[in-house]
Amino acid sequence: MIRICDLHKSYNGQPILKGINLEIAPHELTVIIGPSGTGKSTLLRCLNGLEVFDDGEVFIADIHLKQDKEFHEKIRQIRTRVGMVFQSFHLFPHLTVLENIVRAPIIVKKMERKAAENMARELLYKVGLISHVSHYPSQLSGGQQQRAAIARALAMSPQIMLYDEPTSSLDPGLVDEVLTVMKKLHNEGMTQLVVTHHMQFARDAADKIAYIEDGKVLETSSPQKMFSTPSDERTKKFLKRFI
Amino acid sequence: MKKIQGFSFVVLFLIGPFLYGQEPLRWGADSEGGAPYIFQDPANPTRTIGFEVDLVNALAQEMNKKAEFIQNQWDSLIPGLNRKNYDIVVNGLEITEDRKAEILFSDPYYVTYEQLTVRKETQNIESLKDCKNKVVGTLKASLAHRMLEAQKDIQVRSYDGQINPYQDLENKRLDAVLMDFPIALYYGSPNPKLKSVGAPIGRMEYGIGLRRGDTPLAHDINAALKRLSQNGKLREIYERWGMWNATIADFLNDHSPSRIPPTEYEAYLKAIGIKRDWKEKVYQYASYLPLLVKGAIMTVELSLLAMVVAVILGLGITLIRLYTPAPLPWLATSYVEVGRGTPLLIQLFFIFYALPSIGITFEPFVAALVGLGLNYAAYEAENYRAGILAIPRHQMEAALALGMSKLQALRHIIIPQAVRIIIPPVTNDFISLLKDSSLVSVITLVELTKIYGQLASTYYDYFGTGVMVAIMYFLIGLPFVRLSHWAEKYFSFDRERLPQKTN
Ligand SMILES: Nc1ncnc2c1ncn2[C@@H]1O[C@H](COP(=O)(O)OP(=O)(O)OP(=O)(O)O)[C@@H](O)[C@H]1O
Ligand SMILES: [Mg+2]
Repeated sequence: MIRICDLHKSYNGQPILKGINLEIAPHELTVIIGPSGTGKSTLLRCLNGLEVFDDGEVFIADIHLKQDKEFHEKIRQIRTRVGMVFQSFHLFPHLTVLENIVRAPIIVKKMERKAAENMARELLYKVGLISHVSHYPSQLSGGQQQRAAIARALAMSPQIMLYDEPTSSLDPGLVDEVLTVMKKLHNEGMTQLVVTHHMQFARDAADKIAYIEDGKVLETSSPQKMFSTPSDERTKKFLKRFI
Repeated sequence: MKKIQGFSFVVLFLIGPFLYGQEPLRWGADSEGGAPYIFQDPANPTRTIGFEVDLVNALAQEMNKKAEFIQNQWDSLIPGLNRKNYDIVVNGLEITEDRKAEILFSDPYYVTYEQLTVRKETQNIESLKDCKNKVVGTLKASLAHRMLEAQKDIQVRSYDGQINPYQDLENKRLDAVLMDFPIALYYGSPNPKLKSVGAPIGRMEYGIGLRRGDTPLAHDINAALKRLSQNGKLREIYERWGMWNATIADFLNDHSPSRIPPTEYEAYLKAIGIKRDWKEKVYQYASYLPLLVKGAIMTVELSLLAMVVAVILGLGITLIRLYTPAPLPWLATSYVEVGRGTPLLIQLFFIFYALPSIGITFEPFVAALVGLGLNYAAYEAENYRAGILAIPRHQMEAALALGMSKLQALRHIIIPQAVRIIIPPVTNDFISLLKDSSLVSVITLVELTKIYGQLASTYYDYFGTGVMVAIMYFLIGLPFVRLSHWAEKYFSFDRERLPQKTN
């Protein structure tokens, strides 16, 4: 579903991604872990073109992305097929929850407003926010905002969902309500790629875990193996406090 | 009978244009310049009178043309002539060598001199020599001004209008005033606390200004002037305005005794000398209203249209500045810097008087609209930029990640949020624009501030008229002040706004 081949990216001559290779199977929940500043967010943002990578190629949602003439055209297509959820939600503060969700399908996919609103209500029901349809984002708790943001991404009917530390800015008590939604999606067969520091979640919910350090994937394995007998020394060191 | 009347109207209508000749005699002058040249009739402020009005009308009649008056600031009369706003200037223009280099002059139509005026009790000032170490006032850029400058040890104060120097003389801020005789006659002599002293000083000739190369018209005008002086009509005008004296008699070589009483001068003295009780004062102020309203309408029209131009153009500039490739943002930024970094007054002068020399000539209203619109576009662009930059970058990213194009993201996500931030400063700018629109009087537009100048200089009343004009500006601006307050309130919070409906 996603294949990343030898991906390179640097900022101002400073290499951040140094040849990332990673394969993500469809319908699986894959978790990316690794120390702070190693390029996890950068990798995720390269997948939907919020950052432009320098070299390598990406196969994602049936699109082959590489540095060619159609790069920008392809990015737009990818974005309609791949949803993204941010650490700080980034809801549109001037729109109600419902409007946050229906705008993109109406504008981008030319969906009928009526159909879009019906779909939005179904999604809000799914993430447990059906009673907050006409609230503004600032009237919601962090957990509610993140669930609304997930519903917003789902409204484009994506094949894949990307999450960049979806629970990191939440109070501990609000984390589970978001993770529950992700598990629910997992059960429905959604392909999900999650960058997180939440090891408990990685261990419980992931099908596969990738460990990234210093711009490279050092190890990919199942949670059991990763948390019991990691093969790389650096992985072991990173996970020491969690094992 | 009725039928015949109707018929003769039709005939008049048909042959009218032939009677008058095709081209009107378009003349430029400053109606704020004051008596006796051209000024608002104190008895009826909607009427413009003056000896030059009479002169031009007589000339036009001689030439079978229709006179058409075009208002312009005195300082700008010659530039306006050269950009063809009108074909002649008749406004006490002295024939000087400097001006001859710039424009063509007709033969002189009036010859006069400078008159010294002092306070009644002053004993020791009778000539320029006596003015040593004294403070003397006069009109800016006039012949009198140059004469005073040429003298050593005189402290010269120059003024824009002719009322204020005489007021300052009365209030002892000046020791003497030196002015053209007609001005002294109309502004100095009527004041019982002042007196005119000494012999005539210097000699000056008023001529009609034409564009260089416009010799055919100059020829026609000289011929008409000659006929007017021979048939006595010219002298009649000067007698009615009280301007007939030895100097002009010498010039026209007509020493016969006076035939006509100075009716216009007396009417003027009567109109300005009337002591009014409060009822009459109210009545007088009420008579200003039609003029003030006319000026106010011009102010509002111009400001609203200019704001529309500024708001739209400003948005374009901002989008170019923030979202286009290489050289364009630089151009847009330069525009904003220049627009905000140079005085609006200079910009207006430039658009109106400089652009015609490269073939771009705007109507006064259009020039004012362009000037104000372009200038405020720079300010609005800056407001928008600040507003858009205040929206966190991640809002754009979130929209892009949902598959929106940059333009869609701007239109649906960024701009609606930025508007909330932008509206208060934009409404404030509108109030400034309303006030800045007073500057367009320099390019011949007659709006509220110009009307103020005209009325005040006609009635010696800067106070009452000033209060009225200030109130008008305030009333015009009020809805926008309120709008600004409302917008600030309305847009400032989302957080406290309750859900409109619960589903
Ligand atoms: N726009 C940018 N310009 C320059 N450097 C950047 C930019 N974005 C990220 N970086 C740098 O790239 C490196 C990787 O950043 P990135 O955000 O991908 O790390 P991360 O693995 O997500 O870290 P964290 O776990 O703290 O979120 C960091 O050193 C960061 O400073
Ligand atoms: Mg990160």
